[in-house]
Amino acid sequence: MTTETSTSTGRVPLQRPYRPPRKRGTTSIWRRGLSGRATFVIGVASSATLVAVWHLLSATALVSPLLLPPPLRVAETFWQFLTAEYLGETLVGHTAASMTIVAGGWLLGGLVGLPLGILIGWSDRVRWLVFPLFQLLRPVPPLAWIPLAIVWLGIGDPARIFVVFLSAVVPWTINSMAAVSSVDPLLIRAARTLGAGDGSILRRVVIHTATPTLVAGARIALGNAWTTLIAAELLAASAGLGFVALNASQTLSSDILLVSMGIIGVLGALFSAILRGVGRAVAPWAKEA
Amino acid sequence: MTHSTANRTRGPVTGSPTTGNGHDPKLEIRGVTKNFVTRAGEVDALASCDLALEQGEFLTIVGPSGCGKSTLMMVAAGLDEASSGSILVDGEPAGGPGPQRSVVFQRFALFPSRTVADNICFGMQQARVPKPEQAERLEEQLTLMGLGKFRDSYPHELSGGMQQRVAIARSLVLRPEILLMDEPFGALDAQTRLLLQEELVRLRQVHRFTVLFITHSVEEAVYLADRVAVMTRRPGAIKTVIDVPGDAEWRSSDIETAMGHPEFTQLRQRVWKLVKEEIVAS
Repeated sequence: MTTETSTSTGRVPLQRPYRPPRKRGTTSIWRRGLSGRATFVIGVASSATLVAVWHLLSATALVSPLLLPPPLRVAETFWQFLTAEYLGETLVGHTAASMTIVAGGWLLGGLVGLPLGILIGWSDRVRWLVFPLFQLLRPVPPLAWIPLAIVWLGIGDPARIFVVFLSAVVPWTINSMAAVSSVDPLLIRAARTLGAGDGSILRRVVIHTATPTLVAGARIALGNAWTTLIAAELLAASAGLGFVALNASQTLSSDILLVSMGIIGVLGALFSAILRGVGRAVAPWAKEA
Repeated sequence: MTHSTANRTRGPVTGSPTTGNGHDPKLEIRGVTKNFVTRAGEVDALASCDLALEQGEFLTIVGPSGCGKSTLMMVAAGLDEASSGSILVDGEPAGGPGPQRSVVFQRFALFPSRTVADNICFGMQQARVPKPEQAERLEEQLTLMGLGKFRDSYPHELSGGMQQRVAIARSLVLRPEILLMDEPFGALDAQTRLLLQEELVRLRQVHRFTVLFITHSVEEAVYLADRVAVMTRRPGAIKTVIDVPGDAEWRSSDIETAMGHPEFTQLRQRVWKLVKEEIVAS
């Protein structure tokens, strides 16, 4: 019974060099778990490639600079724009104006959505009372509120904050609700047997356990708020990144348009990263979601 | 047969099943029934259950799966309400859940957001035990349960056996008079299970708490108990209560020796037969 000659039976002859299953070192880079630093390097590389392609496209004049200005010119514009005023403000001023609105809408959203979501998740009664109404209002896009916002609040910052608020309050509420209702009921029972009352259970067990999901909700809400900003700044704004973008497109200043879009992108990603860090800091025990 | 058998059949007992020496039992389950309303209609989970545990007694309940053991435990803990009947502690209605009837759950139920030390201190914080005393009692439990190294670990960083040790410590630190254990070792591997069974025996020699312990393992039931209650199939009732002689030779030996002892084997077989009747009949 030698295996060497038994290939006809379908068995693998022993002489054939043994190939171990792919191990870590040989696994394709897409299949491997990577360290944070490696993913960062990959991210930088892919972004750099994009810029290079962009540069080539405009350098070879395949695309009109009017439609897509070369990256260097955009960088230059960015530099000038940092100190020189455009539409009455420097870049810093416009960014600050936008951030004020986003922060206002997001924080108000949290002020309402966080406790509301927690209560809906915690108490059946509140859920019965509030949730149907919430479900009715939820599908209405924040932008559809703009006319009403103008009627109610006029065309100023309050109306813009209101629209951003609407876009943020929904994820604040929904995620807080999900965070609280996904807490294992067994933990609540255990807490009861350890002598905890309702208030104590809500604070010390439910909210404590739900913290990572609550922070994740805050992050999604901030993302929503930030993307709604541009729309909110269509409301006859006099400053802000969305306002800059809108004006730049009307005057065909595509370099300025790209600068404002870039800032919106970078800041959005930055906020998301910051809140991820906050999540890790307040709940070091949580496995990364 | 050297041991006597108290044979309690279905149906409410007449009068109060007080223990031999006349005083109130520590924990008494009196005529407890439970039915659930489900979509399929009403389901009887527990027919009338009666049990009385004396101070310091260790009573295990075995029964076929789905017989309502855990339901009975939840009612005993005050976490679930009985459809009829009552739970008495020292002869008084027990009321809602609380630290005097501490529960150890099969799934550990540790707070994932708290470290081992914080989990153990949770109940003491609720009871506003003074900080220095908390620290003292925490140390005592950490040493007793061999958890010293893990005081700052989070539950998810621990093995199942370690997690259950934390849960037991979290209960014991409150110095409960009654410990309710709902298949506490059911989620553990066989070796860990043996170790924890032995530790539980050791712990009982330190604190003389009264234990109601649910298990589906006949060996475990016999090894740990002063008395073993066998439950019927659903709707669960107490079928028989068997005394485990306190002076049995194997009681003083470790679990592997005990399990090989003829007297132990005999007892185990007897309990198993009773359980099997219920499984086969269902």
